[in-house]
Amino acid sequence: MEQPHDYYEMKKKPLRVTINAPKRLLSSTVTQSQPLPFLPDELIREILLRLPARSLLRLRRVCGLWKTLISSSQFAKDHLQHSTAADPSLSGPRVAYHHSCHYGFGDFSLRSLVENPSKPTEVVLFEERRNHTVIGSCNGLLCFYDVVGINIFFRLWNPCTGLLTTPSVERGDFLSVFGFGYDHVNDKYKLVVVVNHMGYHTTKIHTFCSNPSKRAIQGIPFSSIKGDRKGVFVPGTATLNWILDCLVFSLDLVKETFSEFSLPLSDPNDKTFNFPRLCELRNCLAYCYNHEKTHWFVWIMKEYGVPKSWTKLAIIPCLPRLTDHHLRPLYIWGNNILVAVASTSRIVLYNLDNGSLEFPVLKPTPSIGLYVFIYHESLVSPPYPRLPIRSSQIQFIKP
Amino acid sequence: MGSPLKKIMLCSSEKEIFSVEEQVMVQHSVIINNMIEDGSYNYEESKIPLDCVDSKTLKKVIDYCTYHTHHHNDNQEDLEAWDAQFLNVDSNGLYDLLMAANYLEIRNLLDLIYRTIKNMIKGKKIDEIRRILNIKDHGFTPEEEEQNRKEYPHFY
Repeated sequence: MEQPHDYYEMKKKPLRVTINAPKRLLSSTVTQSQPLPFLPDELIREILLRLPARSLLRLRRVCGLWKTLISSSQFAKDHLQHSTAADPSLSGPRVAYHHSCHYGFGDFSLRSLVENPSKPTEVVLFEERRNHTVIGSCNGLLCFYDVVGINIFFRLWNPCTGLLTTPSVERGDFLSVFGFGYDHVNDKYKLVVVVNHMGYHTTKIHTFCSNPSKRAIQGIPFSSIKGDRKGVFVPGTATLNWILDCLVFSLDLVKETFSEFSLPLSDPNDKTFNFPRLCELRNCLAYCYNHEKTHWFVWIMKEYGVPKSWTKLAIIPCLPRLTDHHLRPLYIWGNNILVAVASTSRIVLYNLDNGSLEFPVLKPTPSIGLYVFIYHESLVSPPYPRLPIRSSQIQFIKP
Repeated sequence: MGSPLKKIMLCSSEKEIFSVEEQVMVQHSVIINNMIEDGSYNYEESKIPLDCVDSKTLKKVIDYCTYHTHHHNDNQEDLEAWDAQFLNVDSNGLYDLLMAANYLEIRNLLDLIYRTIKNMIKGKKIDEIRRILNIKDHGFTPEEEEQNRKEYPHFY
């Protein structure tokens, strides 16, 4: 069972000895002493904002005030902001995946994987979500869909609290392109899909809110999209991004308009790079491709939309266990561990400082497929949530 | 920002007067910074009355602000070790510091104390948290409480 961790301990991992010493002092002071005098509500709130989402769910049972506080949507927003600003690893990054061959849907903690790669990290499997395909994640919410006949059901789900929205429905045979993101200006979660129905393609934006809406917008030229059909959401910019020819094709979720800007080294005649894909690293747009089947290049766009700010992050050699046809960067842990999915459907940890590779162990299954998403646990409620119907959904909330 | 040589006077609840470098307090306390900036502090005559901060706590607060003003370039681990030693106080002392930091709006000290209290309750059972934070009335009906205890016995 995973214990919540202290983010200070994480942040300064190499200094563990020094950091732990003061903590010992603090805790000994506390356990041997009298209880604290009763604290005013606003100070309790400040303390609770510093705890991980998962602990807070349990702490709703401490007293009525804490329950009201922790359950409020304003608290959820402030908590999200606090954990993003203080240290993202405080909010317990987790990995969610669905396996297209095994119809598996699972989830595991990134922390235990990175900290202890040789000790198997346990995967939580969700039997009742096995036919669901994840589209994206944002603010602790996962957006996924399942197909029943010609109806496609889209839902938002907070795996930490177990809350699920009522579905937004689309009629179509299949989806060509999709993307999920958050419009922070209007405080709305939005989904973009290109639906193929009876041979016609329509680009639509679904808005998840009390009055769910969907409407057609200017079409995405989906046949020219390279690499991933899934748009990459860049937090804070309210944009979804795809690769279109040799450019980034960007959709602004606030204005619902498109724009384009260049990729690094975008020479259309250069045939030596393959398998290009966009991803998000450190809240920035990132770009990864294979060069001459020998190396993977990873770039980060430090300032969104400014091509001059493309910066090379890593050049990773295609060692025997890291083949040349699939690498999907997921996350940068701390200062130097790049977490990625390799073509073997396994997680790989690449050390940016010394170039070492590690393949952490997962149980019960080492293979997690190629559809893998990082999400940060939060208390954010999906709009118009329903209570978890099945107890197995609540069981995920572990103390 | 005040001149580093200027001193200001702080007066504790016991009417004890502490003379502190203005810079030290201005950098740390939002309230004192505002008083100096809007000119409501008179260097010749004024002393700032802090009726709800006793001398012992005020001395500690001044120690904290002084140390952090003069050592802000130290490496992070040394500062954290100093902070931990600084907060090695009993629960009443911790509470007094929290109230003083809240009153004077000393943000980094507040954050340090919040984190300390967070560490006190993190991973603890609910009964233990109620004891540590002196929550006598949980506000649930006996039925709700019993139901919770029955459903999640390992939380208590």
